[in-house]
Amino acid sequence: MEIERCREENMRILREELIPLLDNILNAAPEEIESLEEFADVLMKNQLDNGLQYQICNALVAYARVKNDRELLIKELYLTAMAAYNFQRMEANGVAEKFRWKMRMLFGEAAGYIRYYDEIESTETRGYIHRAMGNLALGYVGNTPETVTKKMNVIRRSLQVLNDPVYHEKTPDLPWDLFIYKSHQERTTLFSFLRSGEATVQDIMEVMESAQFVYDRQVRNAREKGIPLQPQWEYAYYAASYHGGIHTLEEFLQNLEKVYTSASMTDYSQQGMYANVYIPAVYAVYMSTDEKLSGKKKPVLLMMYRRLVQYVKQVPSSMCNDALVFYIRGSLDTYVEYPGEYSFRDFIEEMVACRQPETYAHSLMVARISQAIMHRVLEREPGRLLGVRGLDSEEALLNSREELDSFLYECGILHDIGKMKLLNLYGIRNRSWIAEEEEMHRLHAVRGYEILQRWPSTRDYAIAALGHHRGYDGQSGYPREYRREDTADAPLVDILCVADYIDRNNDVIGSYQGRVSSLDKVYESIKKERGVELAPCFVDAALEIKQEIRDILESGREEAYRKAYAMYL
Amino acid sequence: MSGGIGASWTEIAMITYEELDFLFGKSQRAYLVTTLPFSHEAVVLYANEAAALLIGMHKNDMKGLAAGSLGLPLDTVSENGPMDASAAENRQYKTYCSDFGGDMCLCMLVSCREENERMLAGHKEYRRRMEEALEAANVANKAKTKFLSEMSHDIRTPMNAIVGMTDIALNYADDMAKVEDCLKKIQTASGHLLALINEVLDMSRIESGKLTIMPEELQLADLIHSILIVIKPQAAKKEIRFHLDLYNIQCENLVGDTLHLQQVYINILSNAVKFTPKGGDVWMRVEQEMTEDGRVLLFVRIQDNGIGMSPEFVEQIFEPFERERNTTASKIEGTGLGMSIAKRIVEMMGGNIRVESEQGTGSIFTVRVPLEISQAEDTIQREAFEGKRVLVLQGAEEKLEQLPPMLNRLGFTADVAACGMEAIDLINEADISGTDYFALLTGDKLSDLEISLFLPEVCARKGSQFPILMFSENDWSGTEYLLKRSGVTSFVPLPLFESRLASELFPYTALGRAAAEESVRPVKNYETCHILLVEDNELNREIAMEILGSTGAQIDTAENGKEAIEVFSSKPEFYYDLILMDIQMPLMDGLEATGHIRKLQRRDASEVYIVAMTANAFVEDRKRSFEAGMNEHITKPLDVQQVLDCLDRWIRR
Repeated sequence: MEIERCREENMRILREELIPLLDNILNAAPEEIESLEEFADVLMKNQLDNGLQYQICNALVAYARVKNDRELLIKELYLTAMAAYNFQRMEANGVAEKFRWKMRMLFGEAAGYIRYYDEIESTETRGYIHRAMGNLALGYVGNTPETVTKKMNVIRRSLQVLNDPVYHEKTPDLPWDLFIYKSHQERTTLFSFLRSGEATVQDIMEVMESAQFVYDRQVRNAREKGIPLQPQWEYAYYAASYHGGIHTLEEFLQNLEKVYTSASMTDYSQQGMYANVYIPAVYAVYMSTDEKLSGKKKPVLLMMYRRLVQYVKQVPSSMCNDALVFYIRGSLDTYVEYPGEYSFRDFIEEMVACRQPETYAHSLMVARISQAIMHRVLEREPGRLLGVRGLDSEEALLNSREELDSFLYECGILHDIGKMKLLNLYGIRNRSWIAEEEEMHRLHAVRGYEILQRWPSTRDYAIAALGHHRGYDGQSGYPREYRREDTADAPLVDILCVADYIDRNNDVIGSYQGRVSSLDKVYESIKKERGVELAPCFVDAALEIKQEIRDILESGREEAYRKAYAMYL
Repeated sequence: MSGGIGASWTEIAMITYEELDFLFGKSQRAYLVTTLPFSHEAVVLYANEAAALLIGMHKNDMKGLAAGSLGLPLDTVSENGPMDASAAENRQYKTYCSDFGGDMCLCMLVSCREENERMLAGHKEYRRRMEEALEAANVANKAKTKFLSEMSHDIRTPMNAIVGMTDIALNYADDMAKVEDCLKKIQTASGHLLALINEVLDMSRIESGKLTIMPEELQLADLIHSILIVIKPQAAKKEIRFHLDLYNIQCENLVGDTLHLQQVYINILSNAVKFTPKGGDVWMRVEQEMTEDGRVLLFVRIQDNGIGMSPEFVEQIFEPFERERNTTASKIEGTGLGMSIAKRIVEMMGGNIRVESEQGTGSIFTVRVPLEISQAEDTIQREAFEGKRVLVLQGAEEKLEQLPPMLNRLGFTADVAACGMEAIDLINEADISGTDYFALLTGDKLSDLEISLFLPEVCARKGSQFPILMFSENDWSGTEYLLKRSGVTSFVPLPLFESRLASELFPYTALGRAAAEESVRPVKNYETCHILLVEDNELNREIAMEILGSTGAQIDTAENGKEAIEVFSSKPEFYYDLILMDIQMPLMDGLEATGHIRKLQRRDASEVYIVAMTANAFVEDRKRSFEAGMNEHITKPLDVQQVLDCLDRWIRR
């Protein structure tokens, strides 16, 4: 309730203060522009609200253009581009594309001011030009030869300028070293391209050179300043050596093990998280490329997974950040399931319970409400479920109550796993989502489906993730990829939809954006959705067991949080 | 003008004397054709040799005489069909009559003796042959009637465009851009209509071999544009997809008879649309090939997936007055004469038409015409474009593939981006390296980005002065507002023409801007000019004086050719700069007067600029005025622009 009130208040302030200013940005007074600039700077610096920063910087760009304020323009182009960059990081595909082109456009424009370098006096603005030139490379995502070639060109040119003594002389106060280092880091990340067969000798040389440059710097820092080697750049260095043909895969894996083991299980810095959570993900990918090694290194990977889960549980909430979610996302994407060993399903459950307890609690509630509805249907009209799980008679259905129970439970637990893929989107609770964020959220259904499809322990439940927001009428909801008529288990997904609808509209903590309503109000609205978003017969069943559902919601939610907490321990 | 058309149509509906002679001239039977009804007063239009022999007069002497004066039996005449024709007894012969259509009556004269012999020889055989003769005459007549409806279809087509566009213009009366667009289309369609009406009049000339091909400057872009304006709405109305492809177009400035070519293509295309069912396709592919003698072979291939034609019909499609007798086609208006006109026109131009067709599959017409290349070239534009860089954002539009070579020919350097992301890279590249783009040329869709989001970014970055040209096959009237707001500076319809492209881009160059400033025509001072206006009609003279008066020029008038020569002769040499000459005048017409003036023993006789003023658009008449020594031709009623342009052209000499 507090969150809701807070959001209302924030939105009121934004609506009354910020939006009118952005709407009439061209008429804004200089001091208003100044305060907007400051506000955006703070948001950027502390990574407080990317969406808001994007809106403000964008408006400032428009203002700067019209007012011919070149310095402000360059800076805000850079900042808008950075916000776009952070946006596209939240979700790897889909919505990200929108921001990627925008980002290239904005960095490119800011970089283009290198032509007017001498006319620009401020060191800060010149710095933005160099940053933009370097960060232009961030806009090239993917491993196609075309993209990589372009990225290589962009970095090459940026480094040319950064290494040009003339510029150093013109602007001696810029952190040239840092800029150069960052550009080498960016180039190092291209290592996986080296083995693609498309890389030229120059590509290989340059990437290896950058990897070496970064590694040397790391070693020097360790020696001189006592700063430990950063696992991501150690990894990158070894990866470049492997992809560049210096090491074998096995040697590379050994090096990865070395990087992994050198990190402490209680290091909750970003480096610690990288080593403990992301290195296993990388390890799994490389290991899987070789069947022999895949068998040989299985114990190592399983050990890494056990430690990973333990580590993720341990991370204090106060230290939990975007980076951790980003790395967990990596391990979900690359998880390798071995029969009889720690299952992907259990891994998912633990990850969600630890890092998204509110999603976990919601999932449990959905599981329990689904089961209750299903029981009612089995009592009154079991025929409604004919065909699900291959059960084609009422008798078979009634005899399989436990199997159905278990199936619905799993669907409930796993249906929202796609949310784990959306970096920090669910952290935005202090204001309403912007359109792009809402659009990203909608992707959780498909992303969840993709994750669950990967391994046998979760494959059966993938359909629940895909279909749990799709309307019964085939028109409303999302995604279009789900069609009820394509799956025999559709009635069970229909039940899940009703349960999900009830809980998400009634869950104070788990509700990210929607308004929370009392159960009575929720019941009013499921009546309206009967036959539209929700299947009529299961709405009817839910209506009949209102008291039971009320009990589940009242006592069950607390239990659910307890369970999440227990898993956390 | 309209009276003229009416008269001519009746003429055409009538079968000509030559054709009657073709039908009956060699017959052993005695045939007469008279006016209807057959009576004493009926006028003899035609008599064949056999009839002349029977009656005892020369056949030409009989023409124009009243039937009564020939002593024909008139009392038992029937106007019904041949089988019911009854006979009237006379001393020597009987007359069988039949309505021959077109207000004509066909009479067959049979001598009584012969009739009796025939009765003996076999009445049936005789009747059959008589029926055959009459049937043949009926077929010829029906063909003529059909021709009329054929022509009315062809006339209705551009007329519909005019009516439709007028409606649209009225609905959008507040939107000047829209109205202007409609008016331009109306202008084109009415030009076509006028040309067609001329063709109707030309028809008899074709028949008599008098059609003239008038080569003049021909802009391929204009030619195709004028065809599209007529055909596209026809196709759209039937929900037929119309595909136009240009291939290997190397030369757009040609010399040829635009109107006649237009007529040929429109004719074939209209047929294609007409004989293709709803939802079908019509393809038009225009292709050029250079010949060894430095001319251009223009290939136009028109294909449809309509009902097609039977092999028998394909064989005779180019015969006049024929149409496919096919039950599936019977619902569709007949064609017939159109193709034979087309064929004759194309042949007169030294080209040919081929047709391939299969019933149920469709037809392919290939028209091949050799054309001269025009020597006119715009060097100013080339100069303005030389070395400028443009970015071509091809997007999803395959047809923009032709754009880069075209731009290169115009002097531009073109960079091509296949998608929005590539375009961003190229723009960044250009910005960072300091080589700005002069313009962005884009299709209307991108494979990767939403164009209405992308273009505003480009526009914001490059400034609102940066030209963004959008090329599209689609009608953009619906999205124009949005796209203009997105930064599109102008829309260019596909197919793509070099000349069009050049004229779209030229205004954005420095030279173009300079030219635009200059073209805001200042009211030039023509005060030192002396113009002789020769015009017999007082009202016309007044209009002309009004228009010419605004130029400040000094004007003398003459009311006919004779007076014109007198006035001209009475002035010193080189006094007149310009003579505006009406053609049809009493006492002496304009052609004759011009001839006389040119022959005068004065130094300015051959040089004085003589401009014919006439509404006569016939090419051979135009040719005649040039032959008579006139320099150019402006159409009546005069319009200011035309006269001013004419003065300018003359001054530039």
